[in-house]
Amino acid sequence: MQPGVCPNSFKQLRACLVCGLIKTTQQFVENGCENCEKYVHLSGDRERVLDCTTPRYQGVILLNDSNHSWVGKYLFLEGKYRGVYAIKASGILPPEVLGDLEARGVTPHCLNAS
Amino acid sequence: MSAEDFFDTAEEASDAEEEEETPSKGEEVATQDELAVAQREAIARIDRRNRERSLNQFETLDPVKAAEEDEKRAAEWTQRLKGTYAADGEAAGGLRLVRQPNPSVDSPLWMVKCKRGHEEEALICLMQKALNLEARGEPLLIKSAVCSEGARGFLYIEAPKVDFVKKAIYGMELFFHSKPSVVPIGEWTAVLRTGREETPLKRGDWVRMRRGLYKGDLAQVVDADEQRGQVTLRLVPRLNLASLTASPEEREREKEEEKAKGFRALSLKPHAFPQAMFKPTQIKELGGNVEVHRDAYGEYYLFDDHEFRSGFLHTVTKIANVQRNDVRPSVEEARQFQVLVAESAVAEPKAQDDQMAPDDLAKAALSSLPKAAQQKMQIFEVGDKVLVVNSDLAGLRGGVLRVESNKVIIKPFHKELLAQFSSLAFEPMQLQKTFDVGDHVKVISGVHKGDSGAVIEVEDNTVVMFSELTNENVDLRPQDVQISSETGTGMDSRGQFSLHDLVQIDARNVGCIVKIERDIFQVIDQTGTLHRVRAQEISGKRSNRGVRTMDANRATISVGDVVRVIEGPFKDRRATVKHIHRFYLFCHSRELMEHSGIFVVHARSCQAQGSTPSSSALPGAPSVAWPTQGDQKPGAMAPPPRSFGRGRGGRNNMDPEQSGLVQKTVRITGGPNKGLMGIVKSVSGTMARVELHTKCKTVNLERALLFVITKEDTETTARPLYPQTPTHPGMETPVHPGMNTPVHPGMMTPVHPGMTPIHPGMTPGPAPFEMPAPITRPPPTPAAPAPTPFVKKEEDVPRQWTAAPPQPRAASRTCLIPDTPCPRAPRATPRKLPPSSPLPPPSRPPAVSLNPPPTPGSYPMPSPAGARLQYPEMGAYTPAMQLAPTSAPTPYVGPSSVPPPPTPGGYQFSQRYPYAAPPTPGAPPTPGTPAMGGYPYPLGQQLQAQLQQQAQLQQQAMSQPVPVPPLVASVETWVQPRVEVEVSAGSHAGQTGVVRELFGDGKCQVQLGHTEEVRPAALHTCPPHGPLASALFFAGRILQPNPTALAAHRMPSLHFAWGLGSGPQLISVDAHALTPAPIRDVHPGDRVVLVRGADVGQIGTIMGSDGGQVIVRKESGDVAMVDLATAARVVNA
Repeated sequence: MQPGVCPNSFKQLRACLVCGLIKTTQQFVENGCENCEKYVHLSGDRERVLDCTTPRYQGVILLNDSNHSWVGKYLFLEGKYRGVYAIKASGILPPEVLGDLEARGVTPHCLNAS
Repeated sequence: MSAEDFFDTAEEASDAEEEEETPSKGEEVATQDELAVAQREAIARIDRRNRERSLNQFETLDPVKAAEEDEKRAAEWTQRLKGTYAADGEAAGGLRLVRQPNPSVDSPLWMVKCKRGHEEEALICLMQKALNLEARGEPLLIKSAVCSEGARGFLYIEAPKVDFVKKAIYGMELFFHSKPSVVPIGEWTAVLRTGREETPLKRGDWVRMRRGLYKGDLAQVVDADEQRGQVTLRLVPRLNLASLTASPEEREREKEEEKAKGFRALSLKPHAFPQAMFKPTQIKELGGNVEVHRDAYGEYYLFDDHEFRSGFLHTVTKIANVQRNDVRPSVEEARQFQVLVAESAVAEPKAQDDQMAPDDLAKAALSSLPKAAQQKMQIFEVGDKVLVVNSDLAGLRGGVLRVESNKVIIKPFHKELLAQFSSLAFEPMQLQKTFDVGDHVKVISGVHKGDSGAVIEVEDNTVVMFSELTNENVDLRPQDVQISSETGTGMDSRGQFSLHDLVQIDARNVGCIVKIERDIFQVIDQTGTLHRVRAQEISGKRSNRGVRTMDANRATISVGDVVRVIEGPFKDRRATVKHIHRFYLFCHSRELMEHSGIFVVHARSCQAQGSTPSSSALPGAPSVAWPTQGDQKPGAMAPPPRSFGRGRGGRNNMDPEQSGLVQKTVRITGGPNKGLMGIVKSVSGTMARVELHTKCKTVNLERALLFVITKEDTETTARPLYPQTPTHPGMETPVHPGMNTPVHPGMMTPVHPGMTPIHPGMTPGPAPFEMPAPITRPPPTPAAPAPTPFVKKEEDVPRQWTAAPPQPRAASRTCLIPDTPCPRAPRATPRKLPPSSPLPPPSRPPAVSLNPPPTPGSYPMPSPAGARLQYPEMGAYTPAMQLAPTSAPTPYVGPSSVPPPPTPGGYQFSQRYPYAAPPTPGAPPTPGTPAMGGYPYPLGQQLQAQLQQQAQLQQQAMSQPVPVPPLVASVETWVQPRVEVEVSAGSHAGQTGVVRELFGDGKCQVQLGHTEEVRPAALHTCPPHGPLASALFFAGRILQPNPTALAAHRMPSLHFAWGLGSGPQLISVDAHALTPAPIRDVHPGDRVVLVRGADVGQIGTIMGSDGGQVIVRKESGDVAMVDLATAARVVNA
């Protein structure tokens, strides 16, 4: 099973704009986004965290078995870390991140209607 | 596609968008909107490519087909991106179809219940639990869980087995452990559907501040960054100019304090400083330090660390601090923004010449106004006067006759037209309400809702009303206004407070809101005094849930009961209890005109009528004072209506032996309820159902455990069991020492122990302050009980009681006092009594009686030591009760002069009552006792005097006492309060007056006086804000806006008489001797009552007049032509 991560507070929650992982701002600053650190490089950069994550999200899911869960598959979260995810997140990624994602063919699924 | 490509295309796309939406934006700075568009495009491209790739794996792509499909999908995408994508069974829409996984039956979705509003938290907790358990090597076997937006109170858990779900939520607080149910597969995708998101804040949007100095103020968004949760606002500044003149040190200190608190404006009280435009010159003159800066957006000023542009404060705050939904700026507010823009443009022309100057915001402010007006549907009511605006008949005026679904039928005010068409139909959009100067109107919506007054000016789109509440002119939109003769009672609510709420005025006083003016509440406090209190001064609302008190017959009064006042100025009035504060009742009577019908009476001056099931006495119960406890209980409890619950009464006809027990009062002699009394509701076999007196509870008991109490028994053997009726023992206790002491000084003492624990509870803290002086109360006998050792058993108590001679009524009333429940009273803490403390000295100080009370019912039987400790309190208690002694003769004064030694334990309240000798009769009240303590009614002195005066007037007016309940109007139904009448018989024949009140016997109280025209000269002679002036404003109708020509007419006598100093004359006359007072002048909006015809007694509003006929809109909504002679005017308040 995948390793997991869980928000350590109910407040200051933000969702990663690329994968939808929900954690507190502080957790993002400390550890970055477990799934998409290679695209967003959040660790240690508060400004970057504010740019690439959002407090505006709708619908929350818990993913405990990302490889075999229908919910996980439906939301394109197969193989992602176990944790809490947003169904839909609204926000704007910095253009360079978006460009990088496009170059790699990675869809920020949670961002489908910003 | 490379990153460069991306940027190129993104720019193209955004350019294309710009042409449509934001033509004015600069090209250098990419705005949020542009970025958002670019992002959507990019995501669409990525998705499309991924899809192609995955399709390629399975089939060779037919280029034509692929292009078609591309187009189709692109269309789908655009639709979706525009936000109009209607959810149609797919959760996330379009492209997902390609890879959409099939739901698997192996692992269903279970629905579990969780605490509403905590779904997200529950989910996070569940995740945490999953991780923790996994670390322990026993992982949760659920696969996922979903917190759907729409389903509040539910979570969905995906797991192969229900046991896994149960295990997952086991022991978790936020979940309810009901049986998980399976979600049908067809609904799975719906679970993952999200609603439409909130539209993000944009530049130019209106918001309101939620907290701090600017709370409630309108603000305009200058810039919003939702991702960071920040928004830049511009506001009309509220500057503390007074602090500019303060010394620098003080300012420094203030600043530090503020910094410690965080964002300054948030830490300040709302609206602490007035709104004013920022004027740098003014600040400089006052000695403020203003720095001028310049940036890309133009010139701005820095003052006090705040940024000011064009006179507005620009501030950055968290989005959480603003209210974004349902913000509708009022006319004044939005205008303020426009006006200020104009002003600032004049004051600082430089600020305007920059390209990004906030003039686009000003435009937004301007444009938002008509929109707001359009959005609001006009509401037309029958009787409204309207002006036709959008039609070839524009300019025609008419009166609304009927309103159909989307047509308004009007009667044209045009003779020739009227000859042809009796009515015309228009669409609501074609009409506009119109008013005449002098119309009495009320405001039905908007900020001023609830206000009323006379129209003094009518412009195109605004109506200027002279408000009766604030005596100020108010600008209103016609659609917010309606013709009405109602005098504004103010708003029904403002903020958290609404009319008739019980509020805490200050530490001591509570009051009932009787009128809400814009920022001021009129509050009548427990002494009956009227206060005008600012909203900020009210410290909070008081709840009166479960508050009860006792009426003159010791029946419980709770909120909502109907009471009849049996004495005092409001004698014979029937009213509903709105609030109870200690033993004051805030009652509401519709017939009473003052203070919106609210008046304050002492509970003991009332009798509960038609009491709710909670009251324990019947209204008609003889008020022969002090029935013994046993006496009262069965008497009060026995009547059948007491049995609530369904069908329980039906069981009564069982076999005679069993039914013999039914409805009997019994004492329970064993089991957990041992010692309690109750009424047998039904019997079956060896079991009986007993409704307890104490609790609202019915218990099943063995019949063997029941001991039937006959009436005789109750008199001779019933014990005063405190748990039984928590209120009663306390009530009775105070009587005994005083009553009985003279007879059995030594014997009486032991009576108290049983009772003692209760009454301190009944007179906690400040209660004695409000204690009314007993009229025939015997004097205090503080030392009497003390010397006597405790010898008697509790069983003796009732005997003593019954032996006591029946108390006079007045005494019984005084006994009610300690009974007043005081929910806030501190609980007794047995700890405070040192267990090893020695026997108390003979006489205890009065302070002891103020000992925090025990909770009745839960009070433990005092241990011998504890009991002994408490007996003397009885003696001490009495003096405490006697704060306002009377001159009744006292046989026992003696030992009271012995100064009592200090209490060993030391009581919390003892400081309040220093150990002085207890007051002896005739001694002045204890310091701290308010002066009113000496009055029979503990009301404010002023009110007291007023009320007495009124009572005298009433007594003069009414030669005979009024029979109690019936208010059957066998008299003419048109005789109603407020109707103008002429007396046709008796000594006052020929005089006019206004009906004040109806009595049941066909008589009514008429206030004599006459309506009179007052010349402007009379107004000049009185001070502009004096009582007469306001009386004029309230009673009269202002005909002309010009104050010098101000003419008020038709003044009800009350105000006239009051204004000129001669008191109102009240007479009592037979209703048959009244005829309607002739109506001399008719004004639309006046209210009349119909005197003859089928609708006699109906009240209507005059819409217009035609010679001797008037058009009246009745309350039922019908419109009728009525002969003026068959109507009587109904005056305002």
